[in-house]
Amino acid sequence: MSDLEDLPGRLASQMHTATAADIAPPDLLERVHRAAARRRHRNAGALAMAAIAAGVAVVALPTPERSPEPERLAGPTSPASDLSVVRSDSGRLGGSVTVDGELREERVELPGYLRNNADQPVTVLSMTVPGTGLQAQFPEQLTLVPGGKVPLTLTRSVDCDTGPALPAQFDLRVAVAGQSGPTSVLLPLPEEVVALYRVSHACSPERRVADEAEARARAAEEARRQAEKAAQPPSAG
Amino acid sequence: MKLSPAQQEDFNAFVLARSNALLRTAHLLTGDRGHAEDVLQQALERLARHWRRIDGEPDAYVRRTLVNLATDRWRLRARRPQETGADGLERRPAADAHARVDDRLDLIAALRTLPPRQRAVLVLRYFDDLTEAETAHLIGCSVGTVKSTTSRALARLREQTSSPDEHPLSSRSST
Repeated sequence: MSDLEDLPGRLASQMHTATAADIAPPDLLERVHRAAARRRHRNAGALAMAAIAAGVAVVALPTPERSPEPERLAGPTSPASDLSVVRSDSGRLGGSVTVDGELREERVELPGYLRNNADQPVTVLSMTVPGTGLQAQFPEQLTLVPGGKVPLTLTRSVDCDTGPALPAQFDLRVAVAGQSGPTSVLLPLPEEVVALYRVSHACSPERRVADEAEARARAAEEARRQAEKAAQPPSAG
Repeated sequence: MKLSPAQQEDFNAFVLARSNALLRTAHLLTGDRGHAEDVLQQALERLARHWRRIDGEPDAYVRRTLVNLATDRWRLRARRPQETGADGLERRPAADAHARVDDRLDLIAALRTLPPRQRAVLVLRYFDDLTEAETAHLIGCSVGTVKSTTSRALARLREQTSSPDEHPLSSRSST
């Protein structure tokens, strides 16, 4: 049994021998990229299916061409250049804010965060999605500590006119305080976030108000019909 | 989410540099070359998805994913009719001239008999040469658990040595 005492050593040696001839297939990288592309496609499809299952109409819009890199309005040394958008699994398709029973705002909770990747705190002044009317409302200003995150909770006023179509490109414009004044950076939003926003836009406050009014009218009509039926004398026989 | 060109380049360089070594780890974890390619592709696809968020240790991320995928596959196979791997079909009677080949095939077969956690610990500790602490971090357990799992796995392999001459881990040169 002495030859078994060095079992770990022999095991390691034989494991190396056993796999020495294993070479990864030459097209592995290509296969990985194809699988990643399929996954992205499936995710977008799943989002649309979830939206349909939730009874939300999906607006079919062409996918905008995206620039590969964020447009950096701030210089590379600005604290804004260390911000990034991180996708998360949470997020809602948006609710509404009413004041005295009247719809005032659409609230959209996008499934993601703005993260500070810098080693120092960053003071965020504002977050907007140009062309959509969506903006974050901070009490005054927000200081993100290193590694800190803030959810992408944005609101859009009912009165806001975003025009007949959605913007061709969805970016998050973040303004931050700098030593030489405010600077801003444009960060591309992840595809899933954009897909959710499209769904959210499809059930815009105006459409929701119209749908609710129609539902109320239908309910009133049904109630009137029921009342009439109840008022009729029971038929003989 | 698509990667920027620079990130894509980094990712491609990582895959080209590390795929052979990771495939060998996957082979030992799954016990089958075909399955190893499948789980490696899956693991790299997940890596591509999270590439932006991974801080400096893509190797550890892929290894952890390989362990998880191999465990999932093992559980799935336990519920399915047994597959016959190509490695099993290649087995030949032991002969001195083919001792090394037999060792290799028998070793894969011996590893296959271990539960996934024990197999993962042995592969990570003795093939990937990770420390107990690194293995514990990667698998998500304590160092003590790694020690006890290693001990149990080795003991289990030793238990199969009732006939040392025929056992894959016995020293053939001494017989």
